[in-house]
Amino acid sequence: MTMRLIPSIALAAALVATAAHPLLAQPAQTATPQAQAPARETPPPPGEPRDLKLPAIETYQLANGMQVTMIPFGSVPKVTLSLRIRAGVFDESKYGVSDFTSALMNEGAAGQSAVAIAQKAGDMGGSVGVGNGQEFFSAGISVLSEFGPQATNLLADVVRRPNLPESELPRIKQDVLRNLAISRTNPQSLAGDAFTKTFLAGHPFGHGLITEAEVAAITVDDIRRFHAEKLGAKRAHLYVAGQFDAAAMRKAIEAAFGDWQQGPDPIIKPATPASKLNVVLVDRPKAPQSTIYVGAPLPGPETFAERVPMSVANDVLGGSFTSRITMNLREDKGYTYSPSSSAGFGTGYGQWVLAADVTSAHTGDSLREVFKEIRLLGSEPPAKAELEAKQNGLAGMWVLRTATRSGLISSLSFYDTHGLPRSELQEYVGKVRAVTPQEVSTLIGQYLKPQTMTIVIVGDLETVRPQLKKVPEIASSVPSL
Amino acid sequence: MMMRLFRLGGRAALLASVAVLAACASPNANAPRTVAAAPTETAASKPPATHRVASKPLVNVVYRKLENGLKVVLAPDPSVPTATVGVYYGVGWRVEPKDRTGYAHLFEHLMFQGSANLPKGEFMKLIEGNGGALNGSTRWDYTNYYEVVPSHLTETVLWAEADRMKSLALTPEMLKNQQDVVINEVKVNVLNQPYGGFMWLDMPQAAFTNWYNAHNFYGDLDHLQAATLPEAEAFRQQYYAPGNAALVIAGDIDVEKTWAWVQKYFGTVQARETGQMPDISEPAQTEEKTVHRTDALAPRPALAFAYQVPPRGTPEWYAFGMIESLLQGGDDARLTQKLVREKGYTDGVMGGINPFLGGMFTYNGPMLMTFGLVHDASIEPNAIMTDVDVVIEQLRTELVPQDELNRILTRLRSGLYDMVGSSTRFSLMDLLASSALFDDDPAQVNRLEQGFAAVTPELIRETAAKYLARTNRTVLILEPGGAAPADAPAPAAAASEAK
Repeated sequence: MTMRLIPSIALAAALVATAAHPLLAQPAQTATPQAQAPARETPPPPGEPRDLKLPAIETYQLANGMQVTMIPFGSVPKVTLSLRIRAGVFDESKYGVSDFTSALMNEGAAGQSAVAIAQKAGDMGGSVGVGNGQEFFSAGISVLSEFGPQATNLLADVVRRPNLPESELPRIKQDVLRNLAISRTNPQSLAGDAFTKTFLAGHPFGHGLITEAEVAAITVDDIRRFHAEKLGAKRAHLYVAGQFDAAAMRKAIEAAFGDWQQGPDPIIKPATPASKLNVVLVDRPKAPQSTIYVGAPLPGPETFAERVPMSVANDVLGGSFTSRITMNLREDKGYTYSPSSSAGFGTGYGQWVLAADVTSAHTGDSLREVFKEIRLLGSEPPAKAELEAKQNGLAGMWVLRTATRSGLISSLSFYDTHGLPRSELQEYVGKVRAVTPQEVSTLIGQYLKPQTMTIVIVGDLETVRPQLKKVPEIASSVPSL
Repeated sequence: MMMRLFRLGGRAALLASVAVLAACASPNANAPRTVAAAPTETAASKPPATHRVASKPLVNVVYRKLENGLKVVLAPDPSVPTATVGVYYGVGWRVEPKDRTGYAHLFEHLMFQGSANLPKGEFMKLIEGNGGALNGSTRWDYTNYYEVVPSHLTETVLWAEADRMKSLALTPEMLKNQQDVVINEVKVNVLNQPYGGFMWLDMPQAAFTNWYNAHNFYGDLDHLQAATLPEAEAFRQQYYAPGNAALVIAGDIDVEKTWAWVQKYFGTVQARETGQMPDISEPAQTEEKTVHRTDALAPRPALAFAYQVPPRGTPEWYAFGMIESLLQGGDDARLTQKLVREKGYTDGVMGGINPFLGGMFTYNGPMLMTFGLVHDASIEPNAIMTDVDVVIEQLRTELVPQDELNRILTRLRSGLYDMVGSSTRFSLMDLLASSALFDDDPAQVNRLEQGFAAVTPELIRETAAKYLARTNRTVLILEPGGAAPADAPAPAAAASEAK
């Protein structure tokens, strides 16, 4: 089951139809020939870009309120069904009931065992399963196209008619407790948990890892009640992507889900992220590295007009291999292997987070460099060529992300979840390219202010704490022994 | 840039294994090993460019060679306007020098540091700044460098890859920088992680006896720190010859235009002999081994067991591919049924043939089929192995129902379509490159399904009886706690004491 390490964040997927412009971002320096060295060759220029053809997407509603989106796409005979149901922490009688409901839904359905269900899915060339996050259940199956209608039936069995056997609950609880113990020894899990609890404190999203007592309190009756009362058509959206016979699929979907109960309306409770400086330290004696999270609040995706420009700004700062923070911390200083930052969004809030595992002895140095890069970009617009390279990069990544069945479903469900226009699928690359150097600098300066940040360091505090006390942006907030 | 990393993951590991079977299998039993053949591949003895197209292909495969020995696989498919380019050198960690564990991987990092016409950082900027993604990885028997780019950038990428095939432009600062980066990589993936070396680093060290198969291939930190620039150039000269490499270009490409670019940019790479390869053969195992390890960061015990895999390309090896899927890979797999649902020891069984670092196709030497799980301290490892033996003995003595095999074949076909339809085509690239490099036959991708379909229940029973014998097995028992400090140089090395 999904452990609640960090809030489920749909990354702002998205982008567009026009592929990358034929601009060489950084032509390798054209020959300033040096005394002995021969002139450098320049790369051959790119040819004419070719557009990705976006599919004709169709959405309709069943009489009971369930939404269905059909996405004909791809060159291979496969079809993916993904059913998202808006049910989660806001519906729980006890914390964790939704997690255990989703877990127990994988233990057989319609009177058949989990093994029999897996065999049925296997005979169609796939597997079927249910997972969940803070706000959504997600049930999916991906099969050979010829089995699309049967896969629809199987998905309906698993979602609507799970066995929810009491006999399997003790085993699942034992699995959860084991994974919980492992999460508490894993530095990235510890950092994510501390970050969530601080950044989203006071909101159900900020709960962090489930506790042993909460696991013990869950009963099969809680689970069965949750399944019976909280899952229903008015909360559900089925996405079908791939090669399929549209008429046959419509018929199968109507037959499988047309008589599903409507269920309650979805509950939506936007979160408000922390907006004052918090420094959280987690001790891990003798750890050779410190796991650091540096996070800043952003507006929610529903209202953040500059969401796409912010992702461009993030790409300049720390979101790609050639970004400033990676080039500095890794390729110049060698403090870390894989630093990376992202701008992510949940209901009502956004978060910019830099995560890195840095050498313990250079924990303070690493933070100093991160703040330096933020300050620099926030006060001085990037060169046009640097920005264009990032814009090209995001346009290219969009094609890779979007040109898959799951990628299209992920982009569309992000828009649908947050009430954003799906036209962004066509407009994303244009929005990326419209961002100016000044805008990048302004956004970084406006949103990445150290005095609003949540900062977590998991490491050997004996080594690390004295270093942190010397980082001016956070020194005053570093907890003492 | 990165060595495949993996974390403990029950369900994720299970789901991944379908793709593993899809992306791996070689029907070519007696193909010459590229490595052995390489020294004779001089420009003069090269045949003219060959051209093979499969008759009714899953993948349109065009296979040619340059006079300098570079193998070139072109796989046109215009459905997504991107092109995937991979350069695979026939050298992996297996053959790195004995006083330089981790060297093949460190060298992989150095390949990103700069070449004659692309100073430090420029290669990455060229790719990312034009909408592409790039990476590299180090495996048992190859090191690869790959990009996926908007297809109009194909020529540019080929020029760049050819540039770093020709020469590197390294400084002591770059070497020091990447030593620090790689050491941080080992820390984040192994030294600072519970179960950091479990299975993938530990099991080969426990199960194999030939040093080349049994060393810590992520590298002892002092070995990594001791590396020098002259060694890098010697390593490059020895193993990074065009005759020891395969170039794959898949996706939205025009075959003849692309071939002309390949000739233009890679045709000028000087042919040279590949260095001597050490003997990597593994003596037949004659008795079961049990190895104990402690992990100071792990909160629960873990258990793994591994069998030596039949020689690549043999009918038994194909049968092992089917056995892998029978045992693990879905909720209906036999080990999963027994250990997860029936006994409740764990939430998932992970592993397979060449687990985490490729699959049954992407290696060229001795290999293990390894499975593992994390369990509670209240369960004795012996109890688990007793249940494992029930599952294994059934395979060794009873015939597998045909419908169970058919299900695996259906999943295989489904996985092959996903491999072909992927937007990055990385699995396809791995398969084409491995088949070219190891078997000189990339078109075998189109014969995978029939190769597995030929496996009979009788062959599975016969293969299981021989290769799933306890005498062919190593059991690895990981216990929590222990005195190993978090900054110990190489926790995986501790396993070697049991050999």
